Amino acid sequence: MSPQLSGGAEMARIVIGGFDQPTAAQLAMRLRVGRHDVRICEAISDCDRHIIDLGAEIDLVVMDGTADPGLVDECFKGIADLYARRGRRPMLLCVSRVYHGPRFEMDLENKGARLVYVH
Amino acid sequence: MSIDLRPVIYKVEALLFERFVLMSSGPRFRVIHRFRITGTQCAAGEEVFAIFLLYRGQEIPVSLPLALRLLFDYLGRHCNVGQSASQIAAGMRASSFYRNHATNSGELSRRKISRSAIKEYVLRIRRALDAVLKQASIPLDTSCILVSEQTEGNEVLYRLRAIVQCRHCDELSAKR
Repeated sequence: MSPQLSGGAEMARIVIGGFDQPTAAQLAMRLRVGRHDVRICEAISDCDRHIIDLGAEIDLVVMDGTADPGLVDECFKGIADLYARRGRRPMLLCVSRVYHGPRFEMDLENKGARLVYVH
Repeated sequence: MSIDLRPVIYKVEALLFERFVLMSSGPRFRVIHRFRITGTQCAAGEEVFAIFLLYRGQEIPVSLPLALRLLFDYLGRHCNVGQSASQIAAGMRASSFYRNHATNSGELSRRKISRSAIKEYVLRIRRALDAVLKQASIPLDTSCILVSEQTEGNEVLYRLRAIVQCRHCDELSAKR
């Protein structure tokens, strides 16, 4: 996390995955306004590979869990395992347009991830 | 279909800020001292009873044996400066708090912390911290919390990069 911005937050490296193309573009644009470095990864299943390829330290991974929450859960588990050997795991955020119930949210929180519902 | 991304942006900002705070200040710990004599504060005779990791409203106990609790307490009091194993051993030996640990209870429970043991104790504390960090799902590496700082020579300085607060319980009204 390098150059510091106002309010204590810094420029962060963010990977977003699983969103449809227009939403991903819109989200990336909104995040880049905050001077964050945003990478888009279309398929959730490619995210761990994408993160390994980036090699750099990732601060946050944002996934769309609307269609397949199980896949997001798997991917977050993969990221947690990957960073167990590297340290400094990124923060994890799952976005969903559909309510998946309390167990899903609890499972995510147990992996250190957070969930946000959007309309 | 267009969706309102504001909640996502707000959550992203909150997560990045949380990460920034964790990275810059380290996590928060609470060290519980007991057997305090009324009117004294962290005086000799108290016991380092327990250590908790504080995260998102949770208090997660850090399971450490006596020697490691004492070392953690000592490092927590000197968070602002790294110290070598010799300095730590000397500091703990010179402190009446550690020499008379838990004597207010009527039961002396102390450990002699030697210079040569510090390195191993640091590794054990890191292992215990690793377990609680996993339990709390905190995205930090223990070597970023209990830091080994290199010097120009071959000495290594140990420093706890965390916010450590001390609380007292089981107050005694008069010294026995």
